[in-house]
Amino acid sequence: MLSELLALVSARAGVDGAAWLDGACAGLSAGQGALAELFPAASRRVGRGPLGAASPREYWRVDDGARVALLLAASGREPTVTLAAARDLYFSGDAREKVGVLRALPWLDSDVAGDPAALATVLDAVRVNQGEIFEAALLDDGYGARHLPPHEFRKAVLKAVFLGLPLARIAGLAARADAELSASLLDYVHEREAAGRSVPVDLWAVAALHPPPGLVAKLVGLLEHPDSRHRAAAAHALRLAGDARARPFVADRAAREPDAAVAAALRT
Amino acid sequence: MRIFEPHAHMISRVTDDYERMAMAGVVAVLEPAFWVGQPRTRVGTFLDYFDTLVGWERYRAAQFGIRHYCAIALNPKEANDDRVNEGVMAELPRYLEKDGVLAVGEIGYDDMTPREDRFFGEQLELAKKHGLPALIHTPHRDKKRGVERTMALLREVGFPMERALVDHNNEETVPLVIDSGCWLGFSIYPDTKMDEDRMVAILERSGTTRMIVNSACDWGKSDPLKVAKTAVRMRQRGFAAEAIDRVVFGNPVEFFAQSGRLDRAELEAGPDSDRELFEGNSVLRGQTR
Repeated sequence: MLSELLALVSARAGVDGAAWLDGACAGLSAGQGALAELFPAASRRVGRGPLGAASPREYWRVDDGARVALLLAASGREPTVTLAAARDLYFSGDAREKVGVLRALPWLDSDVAGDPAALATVLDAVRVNQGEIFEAALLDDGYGARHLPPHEFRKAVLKAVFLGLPLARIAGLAARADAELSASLLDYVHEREAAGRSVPVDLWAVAALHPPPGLVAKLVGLLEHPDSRHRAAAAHALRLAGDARARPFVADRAAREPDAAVAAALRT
Repeated sequence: MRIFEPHAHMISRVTDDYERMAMAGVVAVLEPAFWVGQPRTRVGTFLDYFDTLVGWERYRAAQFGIRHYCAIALNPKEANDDRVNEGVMAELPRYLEKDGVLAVGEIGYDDMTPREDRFFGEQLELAKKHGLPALIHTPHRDKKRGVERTMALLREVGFPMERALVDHNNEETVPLVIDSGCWLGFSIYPDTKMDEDRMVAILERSGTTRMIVNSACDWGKSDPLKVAKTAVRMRQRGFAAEAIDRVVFGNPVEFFAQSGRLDRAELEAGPDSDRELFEGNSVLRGQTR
């Protein structure tokens, strides 16, 4: 991972930035250099543009890559110490530094249960209002998606819905979703409907994994929504819910559905 | 018109002020650390304040397309408070390495005490060590003598004059500071310090070189639109667009770019907000309608 990151950063940071990062990482690997001084300087040394990494890291910036590299270089010697240091860097960091720490956590923590320092970090991150910090904690291969305790994970997913973030970017969401999350999502739908507001279409596929009472009826109703995105989402969610009571309505709509993609979703 | 507001204490202002500033042409603000009115009794309160300057205020500003930079320091008034002065000094180095920290400031004199002498001098040394310019407050009382003493200390420390912005000037201090080679800041206030008409008269008399105008808006009676209003007055008095741009944008950018941390291309490209497009990915935040 470290050499891969160094190559990516080098390709975009320019000669001086690349040399700075190589030198800093070599020093940290050898137990020299002050991580607390190198870490905040990374953005102005290597830049803040897109890193150009492959999925699921396509949203990383160059300075994210550099900061993760710095932490990986330091962790070669003492992983647990580095997790505590990473937590301290997070709590004293600006937004870019916080994102850098969060992106590094999955690589630093090999403990399946989650290291206490890493958990404290990610718990703070899912409570903040700053979008880029929350996203780095939860989305893509964010540490929170795997390690947040169930209750905190559900709250974070609900917050992602509230912020209008694409739920498909929460890695492993289907495996961690449960009946309690579905119930919360349906409550959210009711709250939105009572206020006369729209409901994000990607919510249904998550709620349908453990369908609470009333959900299937709502989805059946959505099959007649004038917007094809809602119909497609309903078709997909009904398939996941697997409730036989919906079948006649699905067949009926499939026979009349003008949108090819929605029709295909209804027939599967 | 684009404005770099080089001195605004946004922590004391409401979010609506950011919105009004953005509509008046402000594309960037620099918030120097200062005395927040209520004396602080412990170092931790300063750290939370500094964290706000590099964190929350940046986020608040970005929502209106404004870039937020800051200057970090132990302010002159609280340099006299032994409960906090040395403890704050010990924490400054890690903040001075942070991105978006473009200067050490506000430092300088309030009452011209021996403690102020000591911490002013020590912070000028810190600025040299971290490669940062200095934003220097001058006293409200006995201003001329305060400015003279400031110049003397800058020379004693060997601080490069072109890396010092001496703020809150008035008619009496202008010749002194121009001769020194320092940059000149002017705080345009509703009642005190300097007003738009006097400011324009100074610019007519002394030119626009190294001249920087700010609102210094804070918890007192002040107005975050004073830089824009001064620009309007300059236009009414016949200043060319380039001269106005130099005073309200070009000069502060040139001064703070001496930090090596102000990316002009980035600044001219517009906001780095949470809402911006990143790799074509746009996410609408907050509740969708």
